[in-house]
Amino acid sequence: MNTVILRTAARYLAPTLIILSLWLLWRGHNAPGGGFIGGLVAGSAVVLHAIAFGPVAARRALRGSPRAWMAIGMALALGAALLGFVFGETLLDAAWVDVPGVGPLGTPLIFDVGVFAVVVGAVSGFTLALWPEGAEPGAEEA
Amino acid sequence: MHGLMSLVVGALFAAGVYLMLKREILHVLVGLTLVGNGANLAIFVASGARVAPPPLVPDGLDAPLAGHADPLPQALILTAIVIGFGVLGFALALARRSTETLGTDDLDRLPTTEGQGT
Amino acid sequence: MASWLPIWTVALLAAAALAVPLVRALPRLGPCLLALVPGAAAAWFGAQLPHVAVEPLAWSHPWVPALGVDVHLLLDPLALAFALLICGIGAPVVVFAGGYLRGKAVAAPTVAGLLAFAAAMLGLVLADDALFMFVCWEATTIISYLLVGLEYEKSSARTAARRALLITAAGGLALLGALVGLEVVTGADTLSTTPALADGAAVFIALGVLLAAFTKSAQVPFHVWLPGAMAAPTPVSAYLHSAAMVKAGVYLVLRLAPTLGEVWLWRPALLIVGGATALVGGLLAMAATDLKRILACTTVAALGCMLLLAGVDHPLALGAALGLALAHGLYKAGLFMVAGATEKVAGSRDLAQMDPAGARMPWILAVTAGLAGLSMAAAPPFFGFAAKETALTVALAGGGGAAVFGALVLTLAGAAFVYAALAVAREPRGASGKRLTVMVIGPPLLLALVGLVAGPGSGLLGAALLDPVAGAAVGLAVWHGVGVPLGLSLLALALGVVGWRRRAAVRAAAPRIDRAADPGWHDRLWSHVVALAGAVARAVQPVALRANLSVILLAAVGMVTFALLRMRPPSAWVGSPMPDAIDVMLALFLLGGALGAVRARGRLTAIGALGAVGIGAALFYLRHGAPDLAMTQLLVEVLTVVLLMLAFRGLPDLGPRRTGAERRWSAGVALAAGGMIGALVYVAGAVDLGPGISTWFSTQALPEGYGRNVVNVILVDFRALDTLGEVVVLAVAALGALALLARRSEAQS
Repeated sequence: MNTVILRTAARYLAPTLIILSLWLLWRGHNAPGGGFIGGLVAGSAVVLHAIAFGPVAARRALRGSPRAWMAIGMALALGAALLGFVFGETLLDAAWVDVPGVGPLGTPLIFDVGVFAVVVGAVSGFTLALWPEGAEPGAEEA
Repeated sequence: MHGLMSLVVGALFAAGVYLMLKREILHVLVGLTLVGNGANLAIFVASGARVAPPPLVPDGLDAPLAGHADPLPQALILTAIVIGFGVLGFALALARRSTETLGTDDLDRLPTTEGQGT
Repeated sequence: MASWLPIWTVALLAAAALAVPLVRALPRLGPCLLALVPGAAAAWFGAQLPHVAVEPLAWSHPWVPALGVDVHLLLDPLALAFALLICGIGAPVVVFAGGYLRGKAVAAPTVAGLLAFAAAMLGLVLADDALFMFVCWEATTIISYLLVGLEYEKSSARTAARRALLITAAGGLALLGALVGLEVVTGADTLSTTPALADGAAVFIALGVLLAAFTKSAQVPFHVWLPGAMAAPTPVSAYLHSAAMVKAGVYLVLRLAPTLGEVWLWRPALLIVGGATALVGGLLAMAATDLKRILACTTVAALGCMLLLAGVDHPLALGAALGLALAHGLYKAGLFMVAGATEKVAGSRDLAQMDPAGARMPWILAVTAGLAGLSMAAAPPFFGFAAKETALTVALAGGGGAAVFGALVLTLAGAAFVYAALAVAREPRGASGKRLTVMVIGPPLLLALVGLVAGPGSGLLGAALLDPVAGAAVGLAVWHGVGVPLGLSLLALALGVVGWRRRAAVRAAAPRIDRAADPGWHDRLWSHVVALAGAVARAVQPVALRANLSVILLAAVGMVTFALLRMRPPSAWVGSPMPDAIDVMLALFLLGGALGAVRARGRLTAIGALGAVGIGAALFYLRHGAPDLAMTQLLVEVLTVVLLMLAFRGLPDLGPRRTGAERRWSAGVALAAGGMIGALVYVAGAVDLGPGISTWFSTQALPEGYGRNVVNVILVDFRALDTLGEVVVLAVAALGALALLARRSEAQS
């Protein structure tokens, strides 16, 4: 595989995938998409970055460890679930506010963002954990 | 149509089980993933899959189009796919670690744990 | 007033919950503060004495209203007597635990466990409905298991805890059966309104109740758990094995005697088992040299005496048994604490290891031991003497062979108690240099003094507690006049003293006595059970993954095939459209992928074939109205292929390694499993199950969930709890992978 082409492609493709994933996450409540799918797309961007530039660069691009992503995601999902006690009657009771110009916003959307973050953390966690020791991109081609 | 798909699901299971009974860890894991795919398709087919509009509410309506696909099995399968991925990832990490520690990917050569049944 | 009944139980539980932080923070003051809870409860129960004899206090509350289950509590004279015992002895034991275990890690959990145990035991004696009583009964079993096994680093503690748990829990099952039977036969809501039974199913009910009582109160042959339970910290023994846990069986017999007393099995079983236990326990106590073992074995004997009395056919028998239970609780708790204090001072609690020429015990300990020991030896004017005299009087009044047998057993057991009292109070010698604190010596001294005062005051005590239970004047008194009972008491005293003077000979026979009294049936049974489990596991769960998997799969195939063959054809089969060209192409694509994975020689081929199957599945989902699934499947498939490549890069590929026979076997199992699943999917897809709940999800997604994508609304709103669980699984799997391989990179670098 030609690393130059791959790196050039990844340089433009990875950010595009991130934007795509956020768009899928946002529209997921009304059209195909959502936290799982968005998270998988964003995770693929991390994987692509790792293949092109190596795991160290991918970890840097992630801005935080996979563990941190999963922790933040769990905290968001659990927080949204616990908000059910505040605004509703029990765990996971959904609460909505109608924001003019944007549409209804509610705790299920926070929950979905949490799912997104956990999936991103898990996908990048598996990839970085399974990355062969000392294998930087192009190492075996050289 | 679902008769044909029952055959396909059965074939996926058979292929997956055949691979899971091999000695090499990689083939076992490929088999496991095939069985997972087969299980997801089994739920989908058994719940009455047919060519139908997706369970989306079109603009201006209150409910999906008549005859839309059943959303519940889809929700179940969606998470099952992701969970299956998670299980595979964990199993790969386990396989990687055991082959590196024990020097073989042959399941028949792995040392057994001590104290069986005592 | 009745609403105080649950409050005391809850207060004890709350004290238990607070105990660990409190005792850790205030090792001396904490236990004393916590002891105020059972202490206050004891005072409150004492204040109820005058009213309860006239009219019992009853309290009830809905528990599971949907099932019509209520909690009924009842404070009648019998419950009151036991409540006084539980709380009145619980308070000093908690103080003692704080002092005795100070500075040890088990101090806080021991205090917490003792208080929780007191709560469960109080609930047990106050319960007036079978269900709540059973729950409390099981709670005492479990808390006792935790307390005996507190020092779980020691294998002796683990073994003893397991033995106690298995024996008493087996009795608990018998009790459950009996209580259900009682409910079915009588239909009564509460125990106090249950009518007397005499025949038919009552025999089985009585058998279950007796089994429960015999296991809990350590009767022959179930007595083997109690001496072993001495592995528990001494405060636990002082409470559970004197006043509380082991008295539960006695309480159960006394509580249900009005209901089951006329069943033909009841009295003979109590007489024989109680009598045998009294003799075996006495013999074991005389052979023992470990102070705690001596006390445990005399407990076994004393429990036997109580149940023996409960089996005597005399109107005052139950009252006399209760009198023995109260006296025993008072002196035995004190003696266990004395044993603990002696161990501290002498550095050992085994008489055989003490130097006969060593230092005597400090005078305060000697006095305490003497006072409690005299009550155990039933010397006048102690409470033990009063209870013993009453017991002998009642046993003799029963008349016939039972009277002779009962009097003989009580006299012989009494001799063993005299012997044991002398051994515990007079023999210990030695000095470890450790001093006794007030918290260690105060509680047993208090209990011993109560035993001294209660003797002359036993007339009052008997009138308040025993007479209402018996329904007549039991005549508990310290002086019954000159007669046969006094003569037998003096005979027991003389026999005990003579025996103690010849103790060397008795102890020389100890190995033979121990073997005869505890032939080890429980340990043998246990090892047989373990061996059987191992054999079954080896047979159906072989070590090799392939064999193991084959067993599971073939069992599943067998069961599903059996069910499919027996299934009645459904009334309505759902029609399914004929496959069109695209369906057939997709099916062939999937079949080709499956075949490719099976036929693959190299790893890349296998992974590629797997990817093809995933893409085929994604296209199938897309065509059948599931775009979310299609996207998820496609993305996961790409990532799966990447992970597989990453994981197996650089590992050698060794090619096929199965023999021809193995391949044929695998193919057979695979075809059976595949055929079974195919048939299952075909049948399941062909049966019309009706609309189900999906319609609700579809129509409510927009109005209730504010979302147009029904699948996503289900995932994040309607069934978000499932999703939460799945996200946790995913995160745990990823964390596991990171942990597994992070350790490797650290080890290599």
